[in-house]
Amino acid sequence: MQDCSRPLAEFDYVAPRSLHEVFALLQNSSARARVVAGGTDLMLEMKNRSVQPEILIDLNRVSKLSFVELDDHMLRIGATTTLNEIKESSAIQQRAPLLIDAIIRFASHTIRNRATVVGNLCNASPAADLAPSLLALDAVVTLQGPTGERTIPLDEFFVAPGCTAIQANEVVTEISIPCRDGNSAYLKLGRRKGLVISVAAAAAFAVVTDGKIEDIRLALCAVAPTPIRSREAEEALIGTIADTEAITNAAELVRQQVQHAADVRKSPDSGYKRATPAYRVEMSYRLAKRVLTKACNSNGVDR
Amino acid sequence: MKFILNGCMVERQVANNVTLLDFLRRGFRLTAAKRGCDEGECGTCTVLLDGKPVNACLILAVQVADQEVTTLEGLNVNGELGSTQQAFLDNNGYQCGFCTPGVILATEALLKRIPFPTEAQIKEALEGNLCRCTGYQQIIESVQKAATLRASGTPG
Amino acid sequence: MMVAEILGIPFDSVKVVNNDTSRIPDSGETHAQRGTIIGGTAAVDAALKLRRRLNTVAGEVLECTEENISIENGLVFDVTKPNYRMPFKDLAMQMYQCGATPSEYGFILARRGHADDNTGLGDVYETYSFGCIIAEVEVDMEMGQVDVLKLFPGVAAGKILQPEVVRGQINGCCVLGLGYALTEAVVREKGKMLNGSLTDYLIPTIQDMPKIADYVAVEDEYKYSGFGAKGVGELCLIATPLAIVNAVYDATGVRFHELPLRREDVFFSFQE
Repeated sequence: MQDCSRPLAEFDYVAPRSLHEVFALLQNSSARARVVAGGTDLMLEMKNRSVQPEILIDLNRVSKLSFVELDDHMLRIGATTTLNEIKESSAIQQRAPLLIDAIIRFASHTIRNRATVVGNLCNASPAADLAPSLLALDAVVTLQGPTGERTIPLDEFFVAPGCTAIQANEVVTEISIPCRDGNSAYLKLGRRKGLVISVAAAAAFAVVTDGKIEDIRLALCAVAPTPIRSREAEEALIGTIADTEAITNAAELVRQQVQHAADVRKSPDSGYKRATPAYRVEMSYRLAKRVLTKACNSNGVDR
Repeated sequence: MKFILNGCMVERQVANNVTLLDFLRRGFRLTAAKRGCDEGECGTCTVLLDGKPVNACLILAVQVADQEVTTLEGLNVNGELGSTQQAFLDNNGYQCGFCTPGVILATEALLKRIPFPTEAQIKEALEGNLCRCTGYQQIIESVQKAATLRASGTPG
Repeated sequence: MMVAEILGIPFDSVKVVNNDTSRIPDSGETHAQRGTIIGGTAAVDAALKLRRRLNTVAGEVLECTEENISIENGLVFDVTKPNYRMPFKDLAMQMYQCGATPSEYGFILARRGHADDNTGLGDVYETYSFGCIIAEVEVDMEMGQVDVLKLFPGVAAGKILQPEVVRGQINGCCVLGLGYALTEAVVREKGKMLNGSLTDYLIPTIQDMPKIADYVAVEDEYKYSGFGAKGVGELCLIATPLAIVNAVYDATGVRFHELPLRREDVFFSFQE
């Protein structure tokens, strides 16, 4: 009898209790090792054999890696915190609702009981669902390695599809979000309503005072090889009145930015495309317009 | 490795590269959890891990050491159907039955969290469970009836 | 259900035994919602014959004519003396004791249909069920997004024997049809299916379901089947995607001729 349709290759499995152990393991075998938290992406890669680690390091038993904390206006989320745990956190609900907006559209409730924010970012799909919100919130990634700790702003974290700024033997331990008062909006397009990968998605965070845009952040995913911030659009909006003309111009800048993006599917050998580049370009314009309008014109935090 | 399965502590040898799903089905002959897609998209492999619904096809057996796993087989109360199962039986909440174990477990977990969920909350909880036969409406009604049965103290 | 009705016994007293298809004549494939008519009518035929024999034996036991025998809820009685009621079990026992055959064979012969080899047209089946769908949609032309707000199903499938089961069938087909219309594309390259996984072949989730109205049933009872029932099965699947496409036309003036309505096809059609 056929044992299993997609058997996994053999590997060693370790569930260390401390980061110290994790680094020791990575030191000895970094090229052959992979760390895993939720595993909802990695397991798929292991099943189709695109990733075949010789050692799998399970981070779920590492102490003090699962947390949501509010420290001095910084929200800190530990690497192994699941998406549902984040979703249920009142601190996140109150201080970073833009992240909640993205989480409730992320995969399914069942997946979210395992999947982690950090995992989604480290997987670095062009369609990383949580990236637009976190980029718009100016999130910072904390990495730890044998030589110590360092931080990278999230918009320097994505290097290429599937590729991040993580160095050898480093592990992302947390992501932090500075708390700021403002209005936010998130919009995701998918080919169906539930359990779907983005065809295009956008997030905006705005601070508007007396009708003028004091500060604005706009980010998108699934329209470029990596998730992107739209700095040109942001710069064009700062200091302006948040009216239709200003927003339309900004959205046009986004469209130009996305114009020459290649198709965003990670594996180049598959002929299957979720959407054509031309469609994503058009959607980037429309999504930008909608989230900017919502974020700039609402009286309270937008949902 | 040791873990709690449907309320009982068990200890077994298992290779690292075996998913929790295959471990349950082949190691314990607990076949309610199904391999529908093997990639976390259909929910037929749903089991409860420490009370939370997860896709067993995306978890390695070795990862659940010292944790609590509940399958559909663990929902019966003294050989009788639990209230959620009874509600699905009485309200046409299933047709071919392939998605049903996953749906019932997701429902159990939902009702423990939210005893009287709104329709939106039900849909959110069951978003990861695909069904081809029912069109979902009678599933939603079964969940609502299960909520009432539980509240009235029917065991399970 | 039909057998219980004819014999006058409770539903739970009827056991359906799964037989071995090698032991019985070939009754054809499972398709075209034929189960209710073919299987059901044969069961009805058997039950009617058995009932006649039961009435004869009961008449002898209760000392009355066969016409006066009634069986209700598993109790057998003479309608002119309704106070004395004999349990069905006892009647069954009597049949054994007086040597009356306690089993019966039911038979239905469906006329063989004919379809023209060239055109494929013809009168293939004894009878047909009919389904109808009204679709209410909302189109976001800016995004190429079609939202099906509500579906209103109607069927003419003979007598509806089990309304809740039929509702399940209809609801299932409406959502199936929704997938057919909006999300289920088979992407092929040189004969190879590129989107063969559920990540890429998208069927509707519970979040995608539209509201579905209570169905309207016109009970055009079929003369030659048990209780006038026909089949429902996947009846509503056929009309649903077509209703959706027609509704999109009604909303936007744009006609689509290919399914599914992919976002970009819808979007770029509106741009023209």
